[in-house]
Amino acid sequence: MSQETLVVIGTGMVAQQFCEVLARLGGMKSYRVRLFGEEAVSAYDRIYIHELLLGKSPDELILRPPVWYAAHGIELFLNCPVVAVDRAVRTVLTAAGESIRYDKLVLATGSVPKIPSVEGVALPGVFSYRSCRDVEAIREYVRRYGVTTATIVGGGVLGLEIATVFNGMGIAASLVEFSGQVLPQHLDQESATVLVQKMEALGMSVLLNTQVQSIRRTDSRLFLSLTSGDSIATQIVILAIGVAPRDELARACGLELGARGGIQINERLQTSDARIFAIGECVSFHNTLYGTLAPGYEMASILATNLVTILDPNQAQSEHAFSLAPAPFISKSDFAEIGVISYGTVFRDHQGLTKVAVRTRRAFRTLVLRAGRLVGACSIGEWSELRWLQDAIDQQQPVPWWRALRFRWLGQMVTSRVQHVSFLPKSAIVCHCMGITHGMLCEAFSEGHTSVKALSAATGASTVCGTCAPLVNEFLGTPALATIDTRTQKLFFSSFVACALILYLVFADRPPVFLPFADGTEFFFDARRSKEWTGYSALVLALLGLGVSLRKYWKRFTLGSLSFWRTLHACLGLTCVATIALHTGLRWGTNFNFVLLADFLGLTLIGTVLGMLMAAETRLVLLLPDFPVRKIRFKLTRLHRVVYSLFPVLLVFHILASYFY
Amino acid sequence: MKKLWVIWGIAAAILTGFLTWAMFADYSPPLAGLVAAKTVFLPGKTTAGHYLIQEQCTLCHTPFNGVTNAACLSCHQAELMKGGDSHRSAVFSGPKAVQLVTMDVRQCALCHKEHRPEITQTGGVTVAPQFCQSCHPRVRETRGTHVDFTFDMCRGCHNFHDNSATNEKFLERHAHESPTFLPVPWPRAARAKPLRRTLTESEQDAPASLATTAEIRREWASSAHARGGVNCSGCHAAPNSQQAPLWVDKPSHQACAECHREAVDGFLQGQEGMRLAHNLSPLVPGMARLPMHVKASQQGLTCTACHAAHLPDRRAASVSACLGCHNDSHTLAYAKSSHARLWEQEQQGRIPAGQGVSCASCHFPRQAGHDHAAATVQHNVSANLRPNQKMLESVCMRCHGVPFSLDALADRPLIERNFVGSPRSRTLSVQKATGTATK
Repeated sequence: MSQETLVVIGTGMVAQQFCEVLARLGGMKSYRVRLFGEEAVSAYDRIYIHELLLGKSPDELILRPPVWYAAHGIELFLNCPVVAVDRAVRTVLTAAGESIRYDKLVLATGSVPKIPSVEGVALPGVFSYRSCRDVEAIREYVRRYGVTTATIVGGGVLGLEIATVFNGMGIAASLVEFSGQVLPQHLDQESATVLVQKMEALGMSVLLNTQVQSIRRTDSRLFLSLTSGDSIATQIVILAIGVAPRDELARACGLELGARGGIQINERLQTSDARIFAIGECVSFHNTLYGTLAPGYEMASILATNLVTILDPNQAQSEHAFSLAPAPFISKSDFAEIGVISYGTVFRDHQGLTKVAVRTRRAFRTLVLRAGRLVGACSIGEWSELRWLQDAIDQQQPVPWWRALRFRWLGQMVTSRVQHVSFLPKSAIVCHCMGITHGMLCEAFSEGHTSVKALSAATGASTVCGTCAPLVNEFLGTPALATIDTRTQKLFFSSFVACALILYLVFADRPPVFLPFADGTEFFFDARRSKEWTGYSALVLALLGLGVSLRKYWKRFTLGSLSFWRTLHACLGLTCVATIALHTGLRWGTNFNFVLLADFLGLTLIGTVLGMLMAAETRLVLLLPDFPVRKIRFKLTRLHRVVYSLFPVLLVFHILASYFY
Repeated sequence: MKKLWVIWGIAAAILTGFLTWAMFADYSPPLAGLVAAKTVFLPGKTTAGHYLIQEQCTLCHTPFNGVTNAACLSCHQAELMKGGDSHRSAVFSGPKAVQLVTMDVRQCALCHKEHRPEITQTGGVTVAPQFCQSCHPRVRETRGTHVDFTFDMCRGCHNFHDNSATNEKFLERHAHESPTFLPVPWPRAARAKPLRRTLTESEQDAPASLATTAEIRREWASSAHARGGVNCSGCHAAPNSQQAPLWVDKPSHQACAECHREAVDGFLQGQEGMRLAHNLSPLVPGMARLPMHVKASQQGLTCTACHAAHLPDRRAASVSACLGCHNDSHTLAYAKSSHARLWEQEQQGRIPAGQGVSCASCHFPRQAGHDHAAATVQHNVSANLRPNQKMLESVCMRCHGVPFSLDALADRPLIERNFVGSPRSRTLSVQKATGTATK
């Protein structure tokens, strides 16, 4: 099979991503890839070009060195802009006059900064902000003129980014935005206002609802007159009012364009010419333009995959389709210390949207709901639940009332996810019983203790209560399920039966009254002797059950494992509840006896729930990672102890009273 | 951790302290507000009567020795020693003792278990209904009249401790009495002999420093006390070994007892006075389990609750004093009863004195004194509170024949209505006893 020639126009990040995927899928076997770019350097990380201002060299931003292209058989032509495409003969014409034949053509021409059509945009000191070259020019200008004041035109992501970078450099930055808010594509009005307040607190100034009318230059100073009537004196002006797709090549060769410009493509990323594809910011898909990187990357991946599979007869049918139109876009930026998060539908389509906003200590967060389902979220300030939110918004998850309530109260949607142990700080305690930290585990691991047993033996972790066994397993990457104790079944069973019995005792109808027999003796439930027998039996059972506390807290008591004692505790507890049922004759008693029984039943009921939870914990952690099982268990254990704490006093007086009176 | 132990220690100490106090400390008036707390160990509802003194556990319970007979007898001895108790403990001891079959019935607490409302029956009895069968298994065979009865019916007629009424002989004797007749006239009210000459208003001897009102002086001057020569100091001056007697603004029942010993003793024996007898705060209607008027709920029951201090009036004490507090259907129905009509007629002088029936006629009846001339009023309300247990002989039979009385007492709703109407049916007991029952 002869190789097809694949010409790619553009050497930006999207073209680079396209090459990466193509190379990964082995596309070079089928295609001879030729890459033409007008810039002098190969693809660099455009997202971080502001770092050039802070002193980084352009080389550090380069994504792949030229060797990489050579190694993958990609012909890279830098400083080589394409000026025309001849679709009839399937050639592209470079500025150098060379004519290159293509079988398939990919347009990844990207976009150019929009330049407002006002007087003075060409003056020295007025810059756009797009390429390495732009930024280097800005840096040079700043250095030469000792710039201390700057004006940024445009309140989008780019504008804010430049403003904060300038601010960080000690340059007083003012932002001029045409609309009524900053980040009009990403935030709602309220959040934007909060953001502006934060920016102003950092020393930036923001002018909204105004446009630049003209720019004049006197000496080294620039004067902006605004539509609001104000006038600003500044030393440098950066234009960041947005980008326009570079569609002039496509326009010239007669490809169809979108209504707002951009090369029109279908879901297979084909232009109106089946041999020509377009990806990145130069396209228009269903009349939508994309100004961010993520959709471009997705297009690049899809196209590369499709181009490889299309030549493979086995996979010809499984073409991927691009369908980004209704999908949300993400933006998570850090402007100085202000984190800004926006995901999903936040600004657009106000109809039928409900917003829930909450101001926490650290952030101002907004949820956007449509018919009770989560469709977007934004936040000024950090939001650790971003990952969860993205999933929830992608799936348009419904937000139940308690979650909404939780959000209103705490500014959080879910309890903090149980983090994988490897992400914990080294000082985080993994085993609370023995006080073993993550760092100590790492140390022991590096000393060669690489199995659960060896690690436990070396550090003492998970040798007491066993709760952290899943964590230790997680640390070693072994499945936690392997450590499920066979005793947990007994623990669960006895807890469950005891729980059912307690609930029966609480809710059962009172038993019939048993009158004494004709000879004066009383029925079993009421006879003094059986009261003594059942009462003292229950006492002995309860005392034996305390072995679990002894094992847990008394270091010198090492008989049996804690899980043995815990299971025994549950079994004894069950027997104790049954004995108490006989002791009381299912009657609650009055006054003191009522309090005692209520305390006992409350105590045991919490205990049974705890038992069931502990027995199921290992499974629950795996099945429901969001369910804060560990937290609930700690709280219940504490409650169990609190309810228990004064029980002995009550019991002593109960026994005393039955002999005193 | 240490802090938690300290908190626990404090909480445990407070709880222990409180429970120890509740168990061991005696009730004392300054702590009267803690009555509810004092009863924390009550294992169940206390029976009628006993509940009025329940905050003083040690009245009945000897620490670590349960409830002894001595504790019961300290209040109930006199009543149990009355004639007619065929089961008094002497019967079961001594050379001619009746053998005890299954249980030692001399132990009060064996048949009268306290704080067990679920098994407590009439009269505070907690034994099985067939209780009598153990010792009297052949009673149905030996007595022809009892053939049709079962053992759970014994207590319908017989009282374990006092079987003097409603036994066979008694019923035979009274079988032919008519519904209303007056076999024994009510004893006339005792008229105390004047101690000294009658005193006049100007002779009152209240200290000059005391601002006595003219009304009080006038009331006293027209009272029986003044007529009998009892001056202010007679009640208000406490005996004092020193020079001048101490003036007491509100004399207690003990001051009354100086002259009215028998009445006060009776009062202290009954439910209304038993709290005073045990040095507890006076009973107030708010403590009662019967319905009482809310406005009277905090009025302490001392002598003066019914007998106005300066102008005692027996008529007022007989009806209106009762109606001031009691609010149950029996009390409220009194006004419509024939008893009340007779009482009105007596007040108007249309019938001879002693034929009217007031509340007190039945519940505080006059009893003939030793010399038959003077009668005393039985101030122990408990002695005449339950018609079916205690009132047939002492009250009903004074005016009514036994068959009619039994019919009326068997009709519970009739008692509720304070005997407005007639008994709805004839009881079998009299007919059984005289052999006139038709099967």
